[in-house]
Order: sequence, then C-alpha cells, then structure tokens
Amino acid sequence: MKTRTIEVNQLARVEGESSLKVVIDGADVRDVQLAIFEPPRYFEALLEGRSHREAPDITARICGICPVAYQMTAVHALEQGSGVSMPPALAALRRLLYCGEWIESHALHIHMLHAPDFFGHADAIELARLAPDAVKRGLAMKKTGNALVALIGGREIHPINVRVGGFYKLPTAAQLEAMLPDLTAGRDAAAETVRWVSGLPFPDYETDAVLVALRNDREYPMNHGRIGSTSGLDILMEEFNDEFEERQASYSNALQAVLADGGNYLTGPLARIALNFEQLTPTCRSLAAEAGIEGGTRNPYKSIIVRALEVLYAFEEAIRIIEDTTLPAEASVPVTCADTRACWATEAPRGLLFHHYNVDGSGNIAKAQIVPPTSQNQLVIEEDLARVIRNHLDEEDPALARYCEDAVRNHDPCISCATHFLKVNIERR
Amino acid sequence: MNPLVIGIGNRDRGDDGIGPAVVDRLRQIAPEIDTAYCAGDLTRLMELWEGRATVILVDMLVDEDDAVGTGRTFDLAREGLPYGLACSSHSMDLAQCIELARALERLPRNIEVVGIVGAQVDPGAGLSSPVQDAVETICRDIAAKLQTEAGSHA
Repeated sequence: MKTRTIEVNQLARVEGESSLKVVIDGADVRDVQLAIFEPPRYFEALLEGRSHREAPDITARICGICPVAYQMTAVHALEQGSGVSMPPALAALRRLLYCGEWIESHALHIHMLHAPDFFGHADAIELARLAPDAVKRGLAMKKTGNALVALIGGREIHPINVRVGGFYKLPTAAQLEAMLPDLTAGRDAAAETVRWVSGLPFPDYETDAVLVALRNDREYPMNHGRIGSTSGLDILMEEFNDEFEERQASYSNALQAVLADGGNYLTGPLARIALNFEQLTPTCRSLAAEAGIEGGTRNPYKSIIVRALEVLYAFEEAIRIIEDTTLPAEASVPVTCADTRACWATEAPRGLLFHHYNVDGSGNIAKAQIVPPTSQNQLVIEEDLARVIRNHLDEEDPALARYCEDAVRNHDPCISCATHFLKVNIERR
Repeated sequence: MNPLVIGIGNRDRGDDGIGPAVVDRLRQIAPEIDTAYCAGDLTRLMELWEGRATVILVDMLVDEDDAVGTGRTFDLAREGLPYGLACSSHSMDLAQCIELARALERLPRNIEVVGIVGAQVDPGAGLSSPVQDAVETICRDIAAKLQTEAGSHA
C-alpha cells in the first residue's frame, strides 16, 4: 500500500502561522493535523494582576481585524459581573461599533482572501485584474467599516474609546449622520456583492457538524443572546464551561474546544444564520432565498454568501441605529467591579467568542479565560479536510494541497487569535 | 493636482517612524509641498493619492546588506517592490498595495518609493542616529526634485 504525506508548510491567506499535515494510506486518510505553530501569546497571563479597567485595551491587542469583538466581550463580561447593564442608547452605539467591525472584517475576507479561490487565483491582485469592479467594491465597503470603527472606537485598528461602563467619549449626532451617505452606498454595494458571490461555482459539500451561535429573538446576534446549537443546546453564557471543554493537542499551540460529550462543533457565519435566519432583514432574507440558502446552508464554501449577507445586514443595521438612536447625555455609567466572577460571549466575525474573569477585591483580574472562535473551529476544519481529501484522492499532491487550503480558508481562521495560551504541565517527583 | 509626499510608518516604533519624520520636516522647510501620513491600513494609499500624477512614498527599508540610514529609490512606474511572503492576512504590505493599485489602474503615473534602511523598530525607541541623520538629506532631495519638476512644467 502506497503512503502519501502532504505537507503545506505555510498556509497562505490565513492570518497567523499554521501548517497542515495529511497522511494518506492507500484510500485511507490516516491523519489530518492543522498545526498551529505561531508562538503562544499569553494574553490570559498578561491580564492577571491588571485592573479590570485595562481589559478592553489589552484584549483588543489580540487581533488587528476583530479587536472590537474582544473589547465588547470583555466589557460586557465585567459589567455582567458587576450587576450593571447598559442603557439602551449606549448599547445601540456598541452594536453600531460591532457593525463596523463585521463590515471591515467580512469585506476583507470575501474580496481579498476567499473569492480568489473560486477563480483559481493565487491572490487578490490576480483577482483584481479579472474582476476589478468587485475588488474596488470590497475596498470601498472596508473603508466605510473602518470609518465607522474609527468614529466610535477612536481609531480603526485597536480602538481606544471603549471602557467598562460605556465609552470615554461620544460621537456627535452630526458625525453619525455624516456617515449615512457612505453607509447607504455600502448597503447597495453589499447587495451587489451578495449577488456576485451567489453566482460562484460551489463544490457540492456539506458539514454535519453541530452549529453553535448566540440566539436572540429580537435581533441578529452580536452582543446579546443565549448560546444555542442545531442539536438543541439552549444555555446561558454562564453555563459555557459546563457544556464546552478546551483541550490541548500535541501538534498545536492553540487549545481546541469540544462539546462536553467530546463532539466537535462549528461557530461562525454558518452557525449564526442557521440559528437566527428570521432575525435578518427582509432584504437579506430575500437575497438569501435568491442565492438558494434560505434558512442557512451547511456548505462551508457558501460561507462567502453568508458573510456577504452579514455585511449587508450590518450596513442596514448601522443605518437603522443612526436614524433611530438619540445620543445619551453621558458616555458611560459608573461600574464598581470587585470580588466577582464574570463571563460573556459575543459574535466575533469568525464566530462565538467567550471570556471569563475572576476579579479580586481590589478590582484586579485574578484569572482570565478567553476562548476565540478559531480554537472552537479547529477540529471541524480538520474534519472538512479529511472529507475533501477523500473526495479528491486521485488528484496529484499539489492539486490536493490546493483543495486543502481552500477548505481551511472557508472558515476564515485567525491563528493569531487562537494562540493566546499554552497549557504547561509540570511533573514533580 | 500637486505632487504628494506620503510618510508611511509608525512614529512610535523606532526607525519605522522615518516616513512621518520626513513629512514633519518637509512641513517645516517646504510647506508648499502637499504631504500626508499613512500608518496601519495601507490600502488607504489609493484614496490618499487619488487624482495625483506624481507621488513620493517614504518608508523604512529592511536590508541587511546596506548600512543603516542608506537611502534607495524605487521607480514604481517601471518596477514593483521586492515581494516577500505576506506576514498577515489582516492587512496588505506596501508591495501588495502597489500591485493591487496597478491591477486596478489606480497607480499614479509617476510614483516612487524612497526607502531608508532601518535598524530597529522597538516600541517608543525613536529614530536611530543614522536614520535621524538621513532625514535632512532626504527632505532636501525631495524638495529639490519636486521644485525641478514644477519648474519644468511651468
């Protein structure tokens, strides 16, 4: 029996440093390892001993494309632990900030990282020669998303205006209204992108993974909801550690999360839309039906359509928030956070993000736990890879490697986010 | 529209601050020259230079073969920048942005990069002495070049 080993030493168009190893024994896929070799970044340890007020600024540094997700999860957790909930206007501004991040992150992934795969191109530069209007549209949407994050967050990368209790400074009504023309243009551009990606050639493939996301009866989830799944899970955020477990694989510097029964699960756009389709706007639902994914899809390749729908939703939601919200008188509310345990989960662009903090009597963080989406999605990505390989066993190694890279990029993993922790076992004799 | 000089880099990261330092100095000695800063998302460059026929970019250069503070000029209308393995998918580096602009036909007709070999990018370190020493020369060269071009078009 002939054994083939395929190694992709550096995955392109994936954030962070990871590699892939596949061992095939005849017609049997013996081993698939998504090895994350980016050095651990110790963010949880960095938080220990620091004031809880520093959490949004420290955790924002975990990721350059989804810092808002880390900030939102941290501040909501610490406010929950303090028994404080945001006044509606401040909550609306936080949701508006999150809209900006979804727009910039998804627009980048759709047009620069994911779409080239469907055209057989190496990167966005080659795609720009073939489909310049689509790439220009993506850049314009990303620019508007960045501008929204900069306006509310203080700057577009690693925002500095988010605090426990609200914001340091509020935008003015005039500044928010000035965003409306670009947001309206972005909404129209996003609808065009939905139609564009809906016409791409999609491999016939569906994941059977359990899909996990926040569920919310009032709105498509960003900052609020219960944790639900396609297998009937319906829990409070506080119950996360009862239902999910993180474990270490010898070949990866990132922890891998599994369901309490050991099963794999997937977070992210496919899970969000499956569990919250009815909370999308009528325009989004209508375009989803046109694209043939009404109610959601289990095809990871079609996550590009779901991301495009979520960009459209974020533009519509941003416009609604600006038009409906009266700015609060104060930028924040007082929060006294001490001697408490706090946790929260939000929907980062790549999926569910969970934080847990123990805060001591002085208001300093005694213990932190951060579970990013990529940690939760790793095992499903490996499952996808094994099935994709089985479906293409007759291909030569370079083509097979290409199929594998495509399968990884379907999930937009952020390796840098995932390597925040390394489990160290010390054996004493 | 007038020529534009864009200083690329983070002034809080050692020699990566060469671009902003050159723009700071140009604003003192040649305030008639249009200037801009660019840090973070380099796809913004296409917006900054939109409508400009002549653009000069100033950025730190990593080159182990040349002495720190050495300047090199790349004529991007004729050649691309050396293209390495992308370190991040969250942003594009300068070489990628230049080629993306070229593919989208959004590259100015005359565009060059003045690169200065840097030594360190430690947070808060400031410019190293050789790079600091290069600022004045680079500013004089850029001002002279743009004045010459303005004269030839007058």
